[in-house]
Amino acid sequence: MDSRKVGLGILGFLALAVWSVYFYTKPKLYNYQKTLIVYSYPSFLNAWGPGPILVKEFEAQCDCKINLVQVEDSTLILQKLLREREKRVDLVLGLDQLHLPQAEEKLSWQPLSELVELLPDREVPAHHFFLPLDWAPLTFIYRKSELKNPPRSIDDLLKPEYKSTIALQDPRTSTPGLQFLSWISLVKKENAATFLKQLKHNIHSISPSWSTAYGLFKKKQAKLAYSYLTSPVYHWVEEKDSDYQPIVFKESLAVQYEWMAIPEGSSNVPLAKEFIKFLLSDSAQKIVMEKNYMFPAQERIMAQTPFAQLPLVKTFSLQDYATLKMKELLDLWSQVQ
Amino acid sequence: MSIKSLIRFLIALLLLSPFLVLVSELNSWNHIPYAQFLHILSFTILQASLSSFSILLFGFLGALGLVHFYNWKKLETLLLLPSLVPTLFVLVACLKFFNPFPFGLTGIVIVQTALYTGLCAVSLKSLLLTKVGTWSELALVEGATRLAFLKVVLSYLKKDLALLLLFFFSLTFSSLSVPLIAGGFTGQTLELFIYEKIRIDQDFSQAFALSLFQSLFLLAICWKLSRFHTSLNTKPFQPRLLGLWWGLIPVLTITVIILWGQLLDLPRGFQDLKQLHSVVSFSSALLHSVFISLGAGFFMIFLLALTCYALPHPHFRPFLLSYLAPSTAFLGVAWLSLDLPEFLSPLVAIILGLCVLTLPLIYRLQVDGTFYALLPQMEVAQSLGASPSEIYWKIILPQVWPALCFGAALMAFWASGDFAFSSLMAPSTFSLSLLIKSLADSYRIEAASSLAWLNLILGLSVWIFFRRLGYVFGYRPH
Repeated sequence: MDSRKVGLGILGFLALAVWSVYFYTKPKLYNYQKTLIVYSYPSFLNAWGPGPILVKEFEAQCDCKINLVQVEDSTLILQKLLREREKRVDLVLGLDQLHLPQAEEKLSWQPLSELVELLPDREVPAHHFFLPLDWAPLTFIYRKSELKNPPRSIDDLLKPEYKSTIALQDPRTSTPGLQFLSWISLVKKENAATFLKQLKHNIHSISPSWSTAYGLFKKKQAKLAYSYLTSPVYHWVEEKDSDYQPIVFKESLAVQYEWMAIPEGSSNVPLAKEFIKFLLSDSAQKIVMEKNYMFPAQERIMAQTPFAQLPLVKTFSLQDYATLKMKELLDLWSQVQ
Repeated sequence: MSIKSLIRFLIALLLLSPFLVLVSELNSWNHIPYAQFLHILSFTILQASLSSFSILLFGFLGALGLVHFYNWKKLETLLLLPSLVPTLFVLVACLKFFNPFPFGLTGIVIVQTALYTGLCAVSLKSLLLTKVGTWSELALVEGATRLAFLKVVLSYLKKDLALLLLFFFSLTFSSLSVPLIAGGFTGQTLELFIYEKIRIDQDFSQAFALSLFQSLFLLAICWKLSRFHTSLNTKPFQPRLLGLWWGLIPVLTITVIILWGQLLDLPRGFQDLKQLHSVVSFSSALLHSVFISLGAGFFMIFLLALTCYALPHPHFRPFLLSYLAPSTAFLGVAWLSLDLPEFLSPLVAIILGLCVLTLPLIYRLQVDGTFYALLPQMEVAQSLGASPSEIYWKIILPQVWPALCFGAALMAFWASGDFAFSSLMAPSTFSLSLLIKSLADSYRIEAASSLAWLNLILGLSVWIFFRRLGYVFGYRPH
């Protein structure tokens, strides 16, 4: 091999690398008075998610620039905020309630009391520092053609007829998995470990993520998947398939809220509050509901939509969740293993 | 400090950088829960040992099959596909084939075997072709039986096989998702334990200690392997004694089952993708994927070439042979704390990160054996008065070039399918693999499955590109 060719090749590659570093690192200029830096999670920011449309609409109204920063999930959002206290972040979208105690304890937030009145529906809780963007209870989803007699109570899940049918998520790697553990813990209290040990026989698989568990269910490998009560709406609307149904348990269900909050160090609090107001408006909430497949924080807009066909269920309150300790939940999971 | 020492220092620094970054941020040290740790460690070793043995066994059979059809180059690329398909689809194929599926240790071994047997077969075929070529010709003339010849080959290649076993042991030892999903309630591995410490407990001191242990553990078991040299044989190959057509059956069956499941999703998936076309820029994701895979491949060649320049060295080689890069989550947190994705751009951060994660693995797969087989030539050249530069450019580089390109092909192939590290560094629709993950995360499993085909085509294209690059510019005996 000609050594000059190799040398030239290496030089060419280095030149390309240097160019790409320069191209991507050239400073981006923002007008800080008119820019909002928002941390959010991937499914909000996806091209088919609500983020891009909402940002476009808000930017047209406010003559400002929304700079969306994707952070993998609620855990990482908190970690990023904790590690980068000096860094400017104006708004956070997508904290879940399992992380609220930690967020409140370790970080400082701007009070949002004056915005609470924007949420007149008493079903949806509001917090002094955190306001919900959307929410959904969590339950098992099934196909009615496949499961003629779905479970109706948490104890029904132990029945032999559901042997190896349940697709779950691992609570150490997945938020719905942690929600399942919270649910069992809230319902069964000190008997949670015994219940989980008995449930083992009926578990088909424990996946590292919601998408894998739901994928196994969708591929008909499992008959029940732990997911959002609102998940069937995707199948009804996008796939025109009404076979998918949520199970209504007689016990209260776990619930997931996606919260919005303004870090205390935000350099544009008025604009951040304007954006929250916009996100809680009826038009924005409709977009959130239709793109995220979650209940909107403004429940009135669900009327005349497929979401209104979903069953009414009881859910645990934030006070109930406040009694849970994440460490204890994961210890419970270890015990079962 | 000489240039060689500087290069060794910089490569070691690059590989160790995640540990150095995190250790600089630690404020306090917490004890690891030893009882739990020992339980997890024993299970991790057990699943990795069984998986790597199974991969090697079926991979060896597959390699004999590939040798039988050694002119059918496309077979080789076909067998690589399972290691590029998202784990969900491999799992679904396994669940359909083994009904009921044995979740637990057996399940983990089955899925890991399905994932990596093709890769093992391709690597072993390459090893057989380059190392026992002349013998096969001679053995055939001398009338050796297939069994007798196989015995000699196995005995001669035992150190290479041990290195390959180690390669797959490292891969399966540090696997996160497969033990979790196929292991049922028993799937508790060291990698998951580290992940738990980082993501849930946010205890970086324990994560650091566990990652360091993971690396040192592998270092200890690899130390002995780093002291053997092999010879290189590039003469024409006679496949008749080694070729075994039925050896391909297991690995081909695995591949066909996995791809068939993917094919069934195509019509529905294309419909979904058509609907999303107006809002998603598939071309931009494809372009980024091309940049990532080509960039990672070329950067890997660059790093491996530098590594070869800095070798031989009594301590650097054992370090490369035994060092296990920390987990994706560990590297991700270390780099996020440095704000690297914002400073370097996601593209560069992904390329650099993937190379840091895989350089030692790729080095020990083919480059080490090829490089150390050249030692006698280097010694002769040196005694005849050749300068170090001449030895490098005229002897080493031309002969290790195919191995460097093999490593680059592997890197590019993996980089095209990576989403675990990329998702920490880039937006959710940045590359094809991230787009696939995002689609699966939002109910669109069929669309994800269909798009995975495009990713497979890309992965195979970069694989073929770097393999051709190795062939075109590589040394060929006259």
